[in-house]
Amino acid sequence: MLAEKRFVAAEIAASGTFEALVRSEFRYVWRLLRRLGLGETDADDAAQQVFMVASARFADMEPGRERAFLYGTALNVAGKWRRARRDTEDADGPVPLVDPSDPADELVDRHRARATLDAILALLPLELRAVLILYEIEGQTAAEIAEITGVARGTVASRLRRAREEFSEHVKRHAARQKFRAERAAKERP
Amino acid sequence: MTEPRRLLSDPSGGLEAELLRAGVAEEPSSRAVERTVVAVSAGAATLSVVSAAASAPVAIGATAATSLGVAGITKLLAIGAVAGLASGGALLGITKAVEHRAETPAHVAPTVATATPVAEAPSIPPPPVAAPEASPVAEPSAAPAPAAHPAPASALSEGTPLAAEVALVDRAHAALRGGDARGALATLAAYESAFASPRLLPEVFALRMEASESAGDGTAARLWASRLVSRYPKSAQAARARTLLEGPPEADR
Repeated sequence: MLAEKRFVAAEIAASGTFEALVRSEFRYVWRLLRRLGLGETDADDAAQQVFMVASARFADMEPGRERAFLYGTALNVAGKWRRARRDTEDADGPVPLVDPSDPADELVDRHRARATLDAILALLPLELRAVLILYEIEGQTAAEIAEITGVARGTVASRLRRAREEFSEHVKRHAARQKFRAERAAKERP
Repeated sequence: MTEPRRLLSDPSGGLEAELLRAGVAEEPSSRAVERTVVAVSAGAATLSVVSAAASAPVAIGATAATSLGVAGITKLLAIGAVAGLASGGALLGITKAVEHRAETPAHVAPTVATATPVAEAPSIPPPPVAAPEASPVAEPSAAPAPAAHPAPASALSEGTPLAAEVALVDRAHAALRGGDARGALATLAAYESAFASPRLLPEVFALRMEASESAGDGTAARLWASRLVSRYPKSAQAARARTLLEGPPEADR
């Protein structure tokens, strides 16, 4: 049975149906991995892993439920990558503060904003973080999120509410620290 | 139940909205997408070949391996090398297995596969992607599915038929991919009668459907499509068949 499934996967991959799935869903998977804390290069590699797993299991996937499968796999893969990184690098540091005397341009601003976003997201518990990402960043509906994450709509709504509260708190604290640093820097200038 | 208002549609979103917007704006590179497309095609195809080669008894094993050909395997691995697969470790394992098990000459490309993981492996090893290299067939899956073990068990050790079926289907595939739709159809023509208990019917029906379409025979394509839908309604191939059936009628009907 297993061998037949591989052949099915091979046939599908060769015929282009799975390729179509990769092309249509890669962005979703990659962006999710990024907001789950993987760096850009890691996200490239991890997204590939997600689709390698998916290709072997494609015959099992119910048509129309591909995203639920990809989501679950992405969460697993992201968890493993983050644990592997943590073993050899420093854990997530505090939310980065911008040096107010740094000249900034739009690209740098966006890059910094993303670094800040990711640092704050890392402070949220995973189930809250996931709902916030899917709702506020990926723009999915509560119903879609319920289906993908396998929880009830009411649970999605309550997680979203808590996620937004926590996110908001962290952002306020970050803004306050940023302001404090800017004021101190201004005082220290001759 | 109405949807809660989205933060990004809130005009007073402030810093929260700015941070979220930075996340919304990020896109993967097209290189990353293409690399994955290549990896998936190479990986899946390589696995099917290796399963056939590694598991079948000696006589058929040689045939199956050489039907795709050493050159074919080498090419797939070369694609992997060019694409710079992070899962190169899996291909390395597969290459070693092919070297070890198949009745093929020594020039099965160890050098090609070796280049891959060294060049592309991140400095911090990612979670293991492949089953241990000792395993004859390495399944490049990290997450939910445990690394599968191949061949030896049940279906393939029953003997030659499945491996031979696979070889036939692979040959038909290769023909279709190479633009020879009629050759593919010819290869598949005797499929049901060649095998007492054929196991790859959905794939064969789907291949015949596509090859017929490619060859300009819309009627036959629709025939295979409806057979596929009625006999294997839940298969992945059935979805494609339905798409074909719902399309515009062929001119030759």
